[in-house]
Amino acid sequence: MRAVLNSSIGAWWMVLVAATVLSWWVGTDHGVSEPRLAASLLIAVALAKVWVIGSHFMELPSADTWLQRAFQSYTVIVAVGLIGMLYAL
Amino acid sequence: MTATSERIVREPAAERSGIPGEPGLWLFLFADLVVFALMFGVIVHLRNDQPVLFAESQSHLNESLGVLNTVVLLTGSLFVAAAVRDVRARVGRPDRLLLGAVACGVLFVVVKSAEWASTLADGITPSTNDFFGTYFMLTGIHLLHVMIGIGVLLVMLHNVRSRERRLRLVEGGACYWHLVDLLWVVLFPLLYLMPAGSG
Repeated sequence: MRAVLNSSIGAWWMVLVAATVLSWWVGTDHGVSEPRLAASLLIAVALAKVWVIGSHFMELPSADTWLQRAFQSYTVIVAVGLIGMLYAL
Repeated sequence: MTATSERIVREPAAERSGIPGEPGLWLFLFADLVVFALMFGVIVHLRNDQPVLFAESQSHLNESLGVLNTVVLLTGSLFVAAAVRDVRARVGRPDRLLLGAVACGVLFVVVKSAEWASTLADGITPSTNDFFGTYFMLTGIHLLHVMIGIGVLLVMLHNVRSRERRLRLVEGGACYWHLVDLLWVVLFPLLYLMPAGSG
């Protein structure tokens, strides 16, 4: 386990866990008081985590360019779409 | 079984592509991602449309168990990513890492089942209101993904323990498991943490 944690993917796992704790903090009335801003932050952090999982666990940077672009586009479109819904509706 | 007795089956260069797993698998993965993206939109719409009901219903969910299950799935993904790395480099004990990932998957199912049981014991069901209808449907579909993922991990484990390791099978199975992880990474904050109201 120590060898796994000491690797680069271990370091990214720690970043993902830290981001989870940050989301928990923001989502439990300790962080941001304005609800839409807090919701936007939660969505942004969640999709940033998706990006990290794609890049460092799925190893997409070493995959074909179209696959990388498709995954990155999905991440950005979902983030912008969901945050846009918070403010547009 | 020793490292020297193992053989990694790779596809001929002409058939090889820069895609982890089988190319066809990615069609399925992206179809799943798109369907879940629409479901994420349903949650945000529900939050906008019925903010009071959303906030009141959300207060019945156990955020701590949601955080626990997030860390459990992230840890499973770490084990799977490390196992793929070890299979490719022909080092370490990827079978042990995959067993660790299976344990994470089983723990997720146990925690989620306990959470559901507690919610149902409080008299809350999928027909209680729109929030819980959405909650039970989406977490149920995701739970089904986790259980399929555990089966995929067991197939990977069997292959890794065999003499002829199929790298593409291991990579593809790993990508499916990471998909299960990343879907929860978005579902969890939307259902458990996202505050309602326009502020």
